[in-house]
Amino acid sequence: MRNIALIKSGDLEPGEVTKVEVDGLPAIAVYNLDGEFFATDDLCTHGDASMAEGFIDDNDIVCPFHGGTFDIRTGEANGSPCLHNLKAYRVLVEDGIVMIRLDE
Amino acid sequence: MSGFVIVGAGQAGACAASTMRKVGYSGKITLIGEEPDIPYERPPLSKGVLMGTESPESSSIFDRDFYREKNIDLLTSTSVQAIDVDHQRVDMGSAGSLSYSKLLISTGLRARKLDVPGGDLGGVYYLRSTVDTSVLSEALQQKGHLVVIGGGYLGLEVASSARKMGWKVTVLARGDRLLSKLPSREISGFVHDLHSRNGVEVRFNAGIKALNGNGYVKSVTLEDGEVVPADAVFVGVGGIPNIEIGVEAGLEIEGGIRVNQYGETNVPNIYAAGDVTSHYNPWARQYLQPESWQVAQNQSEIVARNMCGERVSYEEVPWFWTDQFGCNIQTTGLPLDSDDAYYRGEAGSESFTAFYFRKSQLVGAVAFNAGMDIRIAQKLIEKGIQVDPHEVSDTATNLRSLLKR
Repeated sequence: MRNIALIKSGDLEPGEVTKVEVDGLPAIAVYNLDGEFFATDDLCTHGDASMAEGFIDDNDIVCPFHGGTFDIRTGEANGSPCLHNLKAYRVLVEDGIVMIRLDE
Repeated sequence: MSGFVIVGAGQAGACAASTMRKVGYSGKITLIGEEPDIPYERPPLSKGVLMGTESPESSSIFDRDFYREKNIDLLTSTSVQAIDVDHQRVDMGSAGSLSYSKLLISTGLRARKLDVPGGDLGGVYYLRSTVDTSVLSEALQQKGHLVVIGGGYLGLEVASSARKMGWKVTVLARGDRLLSKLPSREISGFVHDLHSRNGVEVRFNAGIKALNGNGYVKSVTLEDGEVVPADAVFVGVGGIPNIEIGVEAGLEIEGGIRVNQYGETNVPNIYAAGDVTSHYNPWARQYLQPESWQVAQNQSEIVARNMCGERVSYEEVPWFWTDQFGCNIQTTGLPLDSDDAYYRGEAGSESFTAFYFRKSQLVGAVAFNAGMDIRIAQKLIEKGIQVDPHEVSDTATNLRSLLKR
């Protein structure tokens, strides 16, 4: 098990999403939903789009290419044309640092 | 036992059937399609599936098991010949007939054929179905010069795919600009630039006089007499709604099958959804025939709910996308006849958005690689939120914050 630091919690406003590149992993999208942080893979499972360029609509991220949606909290594909879930990560915030925990 | 019958098993038909189950309808649902495939999405057919980077199966809307699990009778390779309105039955020829309590027509469009001498030569391709895509994809395995007739969305997407597959491509546009549905010549010019940068030659005001060849197309003669050599020709000159069974049944037609915002036709218990419709949109205050994924998906869902006893109006702000040469272009609203564009980001650069106003009201937007701007513009328009042109074009403005007004 290891933790990977992504961003400082103060650097991402509520309702915003940003893309973080991590060595050895696909790019990760980090979200701030009303002060709670979430992370998923950044690349859409449908088209070649970055979730960090998408629109946050309540608890969903709307893909910027084709309008498909995923639940930010679980990565679940819940709006067409997206059918396959995004990988969602376990997120921890410690000392103002947003991290994901990998089970490996 | 009668139940719901859906004629046309494309995006709209499949989405309607799934919605009926989602909202708890437990009666019989029969989904009838002419094609051999289970329902699939069409957008990938001119892109990933054509280039062979996506499998045809990946565009299926649901897998085959879905229809079994949801108890939806899916009849493929079956065509409906006629509707007997008085007895509420559909006639499927040798496949028999079925009675319905409510009927949904979602027969979509077919490709408009090029009506010129030589139009039926070999080497002339159209694209509407998975079969069309596999035939064209096979033909594009060799290399040569592809002449694309039509400067609309489909023609340009095929031009992009063929170019990536190593073909020399010439687009013959009938008018004086590409994508004439876009709000201005200027924005069409950026699409032209994209194609020029990627080696596509575009000829404007290119009316077609004839296709020439002995069994197989060798060249295209333009109305001005010029002859353009071709190893293959792709025709993308629009779609024709499949209204025939509706016409015979006495449905009102206005281009497509005319329906109100609830999807009702003028005949009781007959509804229509998707590309086959000309539907009243209360937001737009006019009938629309948008030929878009958005309508096939979302209008059909609303109409299905209405068939199940709800009363929901379909009044989405139009939204459309296309992918060409790795560039995602989206439009929203009805920005025709608007004033000058206000650009957010540098116009013509890799990523920018044009906002269109009419009488200082935001009426539409077009974005190149800036889908989030479009989503926000669509919501601003839908909610009628007042925004200032200089404010939206200033990249220092957080567009999302405007939605909170």
